[in-house]
Amino acid sequence: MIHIEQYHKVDSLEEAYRLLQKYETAVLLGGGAWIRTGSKPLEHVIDLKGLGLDTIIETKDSLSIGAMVSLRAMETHAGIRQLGGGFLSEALSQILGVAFRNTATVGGSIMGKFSFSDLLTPLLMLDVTLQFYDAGPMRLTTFLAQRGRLKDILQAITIEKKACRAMFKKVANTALDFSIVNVAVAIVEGRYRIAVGARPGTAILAESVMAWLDTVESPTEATWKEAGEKVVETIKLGTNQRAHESYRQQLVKTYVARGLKEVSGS
Amino acid sequence: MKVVNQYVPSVDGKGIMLGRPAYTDDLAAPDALIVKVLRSPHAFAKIVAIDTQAAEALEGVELVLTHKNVPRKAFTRAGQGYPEPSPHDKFVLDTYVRYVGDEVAAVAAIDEKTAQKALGLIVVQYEVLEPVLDFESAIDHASIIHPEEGIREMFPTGFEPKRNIAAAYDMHVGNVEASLASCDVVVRETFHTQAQAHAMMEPHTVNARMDYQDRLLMYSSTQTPFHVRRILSQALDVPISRIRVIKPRVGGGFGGKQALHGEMLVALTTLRTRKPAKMVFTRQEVFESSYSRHPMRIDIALGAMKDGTLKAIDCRILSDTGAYGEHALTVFMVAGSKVLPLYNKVDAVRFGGQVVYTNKTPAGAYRGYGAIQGNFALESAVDMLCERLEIDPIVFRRKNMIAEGESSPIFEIMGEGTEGTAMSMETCKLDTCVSRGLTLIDWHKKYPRQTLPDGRIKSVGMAIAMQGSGIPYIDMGAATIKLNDDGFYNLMVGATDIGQGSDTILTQIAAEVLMTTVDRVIVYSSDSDLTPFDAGAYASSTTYVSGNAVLAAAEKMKGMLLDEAARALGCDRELVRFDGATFTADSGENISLSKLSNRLYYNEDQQQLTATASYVGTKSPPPFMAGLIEIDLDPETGEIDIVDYVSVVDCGTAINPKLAIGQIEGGIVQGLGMAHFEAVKYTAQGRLISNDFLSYKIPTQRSVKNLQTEIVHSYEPSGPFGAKSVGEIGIDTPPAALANAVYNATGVRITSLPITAEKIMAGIAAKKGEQSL
Amino acid sequence: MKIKFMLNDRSQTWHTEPGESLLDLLRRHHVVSVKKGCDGSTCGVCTVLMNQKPVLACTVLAVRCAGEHIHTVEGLADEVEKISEAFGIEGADQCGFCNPGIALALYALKAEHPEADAAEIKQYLEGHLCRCSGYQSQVKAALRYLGEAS
Repeated sequence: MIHIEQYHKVDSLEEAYRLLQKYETAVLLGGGAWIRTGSKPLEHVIDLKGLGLDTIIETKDSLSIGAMVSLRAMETHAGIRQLGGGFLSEALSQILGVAFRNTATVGGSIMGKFSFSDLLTPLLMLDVTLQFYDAGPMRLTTFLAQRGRLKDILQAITIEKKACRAMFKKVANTALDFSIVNVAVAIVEGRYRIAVGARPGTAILAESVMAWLDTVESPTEATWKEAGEKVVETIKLGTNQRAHESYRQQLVKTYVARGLKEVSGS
Repeated sequence: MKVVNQYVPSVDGKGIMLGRPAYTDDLAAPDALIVKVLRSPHAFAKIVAIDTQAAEALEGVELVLTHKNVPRKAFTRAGQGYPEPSPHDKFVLDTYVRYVGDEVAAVAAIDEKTAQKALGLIVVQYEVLEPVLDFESAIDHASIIHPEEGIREMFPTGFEPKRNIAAAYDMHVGNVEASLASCDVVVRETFHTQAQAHAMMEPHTVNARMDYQDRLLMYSSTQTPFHVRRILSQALDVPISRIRVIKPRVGGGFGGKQALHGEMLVALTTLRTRKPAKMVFTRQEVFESSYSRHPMRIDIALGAMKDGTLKAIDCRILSDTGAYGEHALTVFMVAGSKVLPLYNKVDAVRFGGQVVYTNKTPAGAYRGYGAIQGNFALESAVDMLCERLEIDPIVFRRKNMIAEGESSPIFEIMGEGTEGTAMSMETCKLDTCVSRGLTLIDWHKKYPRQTLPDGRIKSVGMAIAMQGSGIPYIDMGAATIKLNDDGFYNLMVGATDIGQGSDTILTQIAAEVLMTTVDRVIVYSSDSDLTPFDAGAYASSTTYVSGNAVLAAAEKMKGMLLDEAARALGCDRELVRFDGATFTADSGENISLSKLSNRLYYNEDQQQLTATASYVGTKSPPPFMAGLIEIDLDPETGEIDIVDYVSVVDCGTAINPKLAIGQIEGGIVQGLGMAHFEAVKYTAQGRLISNDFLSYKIPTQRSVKNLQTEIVHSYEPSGPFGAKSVGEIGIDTPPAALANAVYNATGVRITSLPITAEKIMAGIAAKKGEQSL
Repeated sequence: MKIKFMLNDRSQTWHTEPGESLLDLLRRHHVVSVKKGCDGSTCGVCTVLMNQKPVLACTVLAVRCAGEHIHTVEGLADEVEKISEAFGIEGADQCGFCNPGIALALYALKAEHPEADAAEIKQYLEGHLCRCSGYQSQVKAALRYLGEAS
C-alpha cells in the first residue's frame, strides 16, 4: 500500500498545472512505475492520465511523443524503430519486462533524471526537445544540466529526424538489471556523438571528445581507441555496489571504441 | 512400465495456472488480523527498554508482542528430525537483537495500515553493541553473539557459544600429513563462497485460526509441516495434539522453507486473540529476515603422484551461520560427506572446521547445501592439480573418481550431524555421464579454448558431482492409500510437494503398482491431522524415501484387493489375476474393481480398505552427474555468455523424466546464478542491501542460451522402481565448471564466488601486468 | 472512493483508496490468481491484462483502472487451458506461482506476435522471474502453444 493522502483526478492540463503550483509537495503521476521507491507519504498526487498526452505524432521531420506514452508503445512504434537503425527501440527493449514497459511512461522516465536510465543515454544521440506546459520548449541537454526540481508539466518530447547511425550498449548482469554502465555512440549528419550513463551518475555527453573527433581527418582503429581513452579521462565515473570505477573505465573505453568503429562503418 | 518413467503431466498444473485458490495466502481468512514485525535497525544490540503503550492504544491494534509477554524457551527454527543437530539458540522474541532485520516486537492489527502505524509507535531503547561482521574473525571475538542462558545443543555438536562457535567437527582417514608429504605434487588453495538468497517466488506466508474444536489450525508455506507442528508445540508450550498444520500449495522452497519464520508470532496472535491472523513476508523481509546460504572459506590441499594418482585430500572449512545456528553443523558436514567421496581411492582424507556465529542474516538450508560449496573448491582444485601434473583433467577424473561397486570410508564416518552409514555404490554411472557429456558439448573440439572471429574466446569447463537420497535411519516417510467406491484411490502423504512435483511422481508410483492411471489416484499432501508422518521435503529424500513408502503402501493395497476379490469370487487368492481393472479367477469368473469396491462399501463383507506403509532408508544412494559449460568470454570486458550447459545425470530411474529434467535444469540455472553474479551484500555496518530484485539479481530467460539435459540409464535396486534422488544434484556443478572454463579461456583462476565479469577483468589485467614486468 | 471497471468482461464497482494497488484490490476481492511476489515492479507474478496489454498489478494504482478492462486467468480459462496443456507436455510446471502471469503474457504475445520464435519468446517473457524451471521448458511450452494456436 502506498500512502497517498490526496489523489487529484483533473480534467485539463491547466488544472493540473494550477494544483502543481498550489501544493508545495504535489507530485505528478505519469506511469507510476517508481512511485513506491520513496518511503515518504505522498500528500498530493496529480494524475496526468486522460489528458491526451499519450499519442505519438510522426511528421516528415520529427516524432513527437506524448509524455504519457508508455515505454513499450515507444519501443514498438514504426517511426522510432527507424531512428538510427533501431538503436532506440533496442535500448527501450532492455528496460525490465514488457509488462513494466506497458506502464512506465516516457515523461516519468525523463523527469526522474534517473541515474540508471537506459533511455536518457540513447536520447542524447538525437536532437530532443522537451515541451513543457509553462516553460515551453527546452533542449534535453539543457534540462539534464539543470539542478533542482522543475515544477512544470512535460507534455511531449520532440525528436528531430536526422540521418543517423547509432549503437547503444547496456552492461548488466541480467536483462532485468539496472545498467552497470551504458554507452551510446552515433554519427549524426557526419558528426560523432558519445554519451555515457549509469556512471553511476546521470547520463552525459562526452562533448570535448566529440569535438576532438570532428577534427580528426581520417580516423582509424587507433582513433577509436584514443577516443575511448579520452572519454574516460573527461567523464567522471565512480564506484558503487554494482562496480568499481576502474571496471567502469574499462567498459566505457571498450564500448566507446567499439561503438565508434561500428557506427563509422569501418 | 506403463506410468512410471513415462510422460505424465503434473497432476496440478492446470488448476494452478487457472488460478484456483491453492497457496497459503489464498486460503487465509478474509478477516485475518495482519501481523507485522518491528525489526532491528542494529546488527547487534540489547533492548534496554521497550514501550508499547501508544501502539496498544491505537484503534484497530489487537495485540503487541515483545520479549516481555512471550514464552521464553530456547528452540531451533530448523525443520529437522528430532532431536535436532541444530542448537536451540532462538527465542520467540529476545532481549538481544542479533542482525539488522531481527525481530524486536510484533503487532497484530485489523489491517496493514494500522499495523504499520502501530510499529511506528513502539519506542525501543537499545544498547548498541559491537557487531561481529567478518566471519573469519568471529571466533573468540570480544563480542559474544549468544551470551544468554538457556541455550543448548541437543547432543554433542561442538557448540561453544561463548566463543561464537555454533558447531565444530573433525574427522580423518589415514595420515594426511604423511600422505601429502609423499606426493609428487601438492596443490593448496583457499576458496570463498558467498551467501546466496533462495528467492523463491512465493514469500514466506503463514496464517492461523482457531477451528471449531478450539484447536490451533495453521496454514503454512513450509517444506516440513510435521516439524512445524512439533516446534510450535515446544516453543509455545501448547500440547501438540491441539495443533493442526496444513501445507497448501507451496510456491517454491529450495530449503528456505525448511524452517519456521512467521509461524511463532502468528500462532501466538491467534492463541491470544482467538482470532484468525496472517503474515506474508514482504520481499524485503524475505531477503533480510529469512535465510540465505552459508558463506564458507574452504582451505583445500590435494596431493598426487606424477602418474595422476590422487593420494590425499585435506579440507578445512570455516562456515558462517549468521545470527542463529540453523543447519549449522549439517550444511558444513555435507560439504565433506557429499563431496569428498567423489575421489574415493585416496590413501588419506581429512576434513574439519568450525561454524561460527556472526551478526548477519541467519544462514539456513539451501538446495545442495554444503555440497555446492565443497564442490566448487574440490573441482576447481582438481583442475589446478591437473595443470601442475600436466595431465588432462578428464583423464585424471576417470582414473580417480568413484565407480560402481566401490565405496568410500567417508560414508560410514560422516552422516548429517551424526555418524554415517557404510554403503557401496550399487549404481554409479559417472563414467557414462562424463563420456556422454563430452560428446554433447563437443569437448574435444572446443577444449580448452578457441578465439572467435570477433575477438572473444570460446572455452569449456566441467565438474562432476554427487548428492544423496535422504538421510539414512533418520528421514522417514509414510503413505496411506484408501480405496473408494467405484474403485478409485486416495493417496495421502506427509511428503511435501513444494513445486518439485512430488505429488505427481508419488501418484505415478502408486498407479504403476495398482496398474491404473494417475487420474484414478487422488493425491493429498500434507496435513498433520490427515496425512501420515513424513520428515518433509529436504535432503533429496522425497522420491527415494517417500516414494518407497508409497510403493509399499500400494503393494499392501494390492494384496488387500486380491484377498477381497478372492473372497468375492470364492476361490483362493493365488488363483486370482488382477489387471488393474478386473479380477479374474482361474475359472474365468471375474469381478471388476468398481464392482468389488461397491460391494465392499454397500453390499457384502462391508469394510474400508486402507493400506499404510512407512519407509526409512538404510542408505542414501547418491545420484551422480557431469556438468559441462561452454562460454564465450570477452577479454576486453570480462563479460561472458553462457552458450550451453550440458548435464548428464545418473539419478536411477526417472519416475517422471520431464519433471526430473525440470529439477536438474532448475538447479543448474540457480547454480549458475550463484556461480556468476548472485551475491547477498551488506554495508560496513551490517545492513543487508541486496534486499529486492533490483539489487539482487537472479537469472532470467536469457541468462543461459541453451541447456542440454540427459538422464543416463541406471537402476538403483533399493529405490522405488530403481529411482534415486534428483532434487539437488543439479545445483552442484556450475560454480566449479564456470571457474574452470574461465581459467581455460584466460588463465585466470577465480577462487571466490561469484565469478563476476569485473573479477575476470581484474584477473586479466593483473595477468597482463605480470607479463609486462 | 468507488471505481467502476470491467473485470473479466463483467462490470464491477468496488471501493478503493488512492494508494491501493490493483494487485491489493484484486486479492482483497479474492481474485487469487494474481500473486504478490515482490510488490515492487520487478518479478512479474502479478501480471494482469489491462486493455489486453500485460501490466504489473502491483504497479498500477487501482483508482486508475476506472473505466478500463482488466483480465486475469479466471476470465480467459479456455485459452489458459491450452497454455496449461503445453506446459504439461513440456514438464514446465513446477511451483506454479509465476504461471498465471506467464499465461497472460503468452496470451498477449499470441495476439501481438503469433509467429514469435524462441528468441522472441524469451525476450517477451524476460520480465517473468521463475526460480524453479531454468526457463527452457517454458520456452518449449510457449512454442508449442503458439504453434498449435496458429
